[in-house]
Amino acid sequence: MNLNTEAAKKNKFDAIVVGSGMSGGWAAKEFCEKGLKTLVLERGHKLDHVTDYQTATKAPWEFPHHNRPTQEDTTKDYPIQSVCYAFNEGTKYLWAKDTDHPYVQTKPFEWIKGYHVGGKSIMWARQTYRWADFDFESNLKDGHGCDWPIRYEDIAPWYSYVEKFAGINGNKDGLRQIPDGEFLPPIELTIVERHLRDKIHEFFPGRTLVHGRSANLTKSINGRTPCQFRNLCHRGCPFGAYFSSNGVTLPAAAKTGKMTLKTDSIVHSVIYDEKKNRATGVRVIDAHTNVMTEYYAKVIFLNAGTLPTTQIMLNSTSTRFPNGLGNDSGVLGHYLMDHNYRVRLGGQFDGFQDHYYKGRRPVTFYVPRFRNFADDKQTNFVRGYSFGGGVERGNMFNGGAWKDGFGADFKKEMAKPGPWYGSLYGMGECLPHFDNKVTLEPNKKDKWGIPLLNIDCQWRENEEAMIKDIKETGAEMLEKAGFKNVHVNDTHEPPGRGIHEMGTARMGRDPKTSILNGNNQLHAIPNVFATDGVCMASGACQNPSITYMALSARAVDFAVNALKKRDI
Amino acid sequence: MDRRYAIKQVALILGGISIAPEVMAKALANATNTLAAVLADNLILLAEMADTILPDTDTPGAKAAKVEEYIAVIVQDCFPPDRRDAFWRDLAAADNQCKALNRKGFVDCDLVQRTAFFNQLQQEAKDQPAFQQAPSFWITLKDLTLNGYFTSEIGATQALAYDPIPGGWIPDMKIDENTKAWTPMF
Repeated sequence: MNLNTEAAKKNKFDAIVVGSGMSGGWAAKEFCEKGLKTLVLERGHKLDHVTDYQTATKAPWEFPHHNRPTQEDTTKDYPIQSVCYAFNEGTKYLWAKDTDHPYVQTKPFEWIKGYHVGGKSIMWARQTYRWADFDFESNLKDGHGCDWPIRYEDIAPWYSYVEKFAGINGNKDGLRQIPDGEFLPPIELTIVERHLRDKIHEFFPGRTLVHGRSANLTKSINGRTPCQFRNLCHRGCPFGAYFSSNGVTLPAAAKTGKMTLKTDSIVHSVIYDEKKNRATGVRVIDAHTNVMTEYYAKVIFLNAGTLPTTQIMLNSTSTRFPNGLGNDSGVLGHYLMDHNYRVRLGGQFDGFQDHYYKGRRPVTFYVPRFRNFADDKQTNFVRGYSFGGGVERGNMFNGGAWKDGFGADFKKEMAKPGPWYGSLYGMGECLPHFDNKVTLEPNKKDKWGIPLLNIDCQWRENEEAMIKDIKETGAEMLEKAGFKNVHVNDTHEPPGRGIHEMGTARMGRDPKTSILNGNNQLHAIPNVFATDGVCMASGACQNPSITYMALSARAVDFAVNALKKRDI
Repeated sequence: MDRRYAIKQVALILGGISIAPEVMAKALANATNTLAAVLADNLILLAEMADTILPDTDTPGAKAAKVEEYIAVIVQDCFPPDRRDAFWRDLAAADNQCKALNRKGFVDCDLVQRTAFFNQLQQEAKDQPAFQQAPSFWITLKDLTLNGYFTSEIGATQALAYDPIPGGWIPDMKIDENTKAWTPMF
């Protein structure tokens, strides 16, 4: 038999999913469970669930620097990645080396990356909040961005679907801003958090503080072990107690026998057939040998992550699409958003000295949006923000250096629980701005010959006005609750550090102003879909991953039906 | 959730985790190389200073926990170059200051003499003008000693309440003045 035909057959699949992370894992599971032979392409290295979590059970003294990052880390190998709050000696094996993955910052943008099977679904903070009905209407109502082609009713059943399988803990709060989901038991608040909540209710009607909601199991589901409250999630969980592709969706896909997972496989571009107006496959570069191979499928899902997916689309040019795949509108690369986490607040609480807790929680509390909602109308900014935070007792020894003393009594003091300390951080919605954009560098390429991404993005007027308000409302809530020495800090961090980069291939109703339709399908090419952060037409203020999961499951369902009906 | 089941799981997992031995070996070797570059006398001096800050009590002290090695490795590998160099200079200056006060280097002083010297350093740190950005040597030394001790195996497992696999969450419990803090695990 002709070797070329053999090779071509080996490279042919029903579906190709680019990326094995948060959304790609879901696409893989859904395709495989629906019977499609699916190729999942992951640019990074293998990361097997549990057995590859090299540091998962290590104690601080088992690391050469007791978990502190080194100068080599922060100035040489990971100057950008090390700004991430979760980066330390124990977790750094999960962050992509900056020296291997350059990009160009026209304005400062901190692109946080995890390049391995599972992507950032291994290192995420696991917080999960549904979008509100009005979040899908924001663009229409205030004119920023283009109208979402879907509404909450379209996605609600899919939120339920993914929540049940992923395993989400939370309390049914009955709040419009964060609709209730399919919840496992919530993780209870500390006594001072309950006090803070009570004071917020007393002094600030319209505001509330609720249990955080996260993808950590508080009950066993599907044979998975529940959370052991070690709070070392960012290293990979040896119990599989939080949601990751590695622990949850990829195993489900693998179980069907329909998945082929190829690691170290970087997608260079989508192969487009102009006569058929279909993508026929993708071009893949082997990360180690630089050899290019083509793979073919009837349907392509792009789930490489917001920035990599758009990079692939911009790099997929043809006579029909000179400006990037499906880019008739010219908006590909535009309307990049992140959440701003710039405002950090904290204060000490002197009561409840004889109270403590046991265990290390993976999630704390959430203050849902109260601005420009219900009766609240702000004149200085549109949309809104939420807070995360916690009130815990740290250790006396942390900061103990500033306390007087040394010797035996001092040592005893330093071993005690620290004072109650409350911290809040704001999560601000970012408007979709046309000028916040990514493009391909014409002359700079990475070591695989792929043009570098140029990121030109900044916080603008609405974000800055919102930040001013976050400082005020955060401080007043802590002060009224009796916290002392309340300090407010603006980190002035640039976009990117929020790690919620979204947009650049937005969904919309009009092919003239958007890239994807209401089914996450390219307006211009019916068999190409994108369901990672790239598709977001606006950003809201909720952590986005659960929305990506829901959109992915929904879009695969649509795509498989369309394949059956021969629409694509 | 049965706690014993969870612990058995960990035992199975520990057996199964491929710790990428080359990676850890390299990291540990690098730390050993780092220590090899530090003057032996400085390590001895740091050990004595740390042990005076956190001595043996009902639990072993900083010297038993080899806190001087932690201090040296952190200063060498984690401090920015100017702060690193300043630390070793300040350590030497501190020992000279001790000699000026006690007519002996710190290592040769008894507890009374060491206490007098540390009180001097402590007072000077408090007198430091507020606009001075970098923490004083005294604060730096204490901070490194405290962190080194309470993240060491001895400090973490004996001087604090060590709970590696809590297994669950108790949101509220009563404590008294003898309660130790839970060991932070990162």
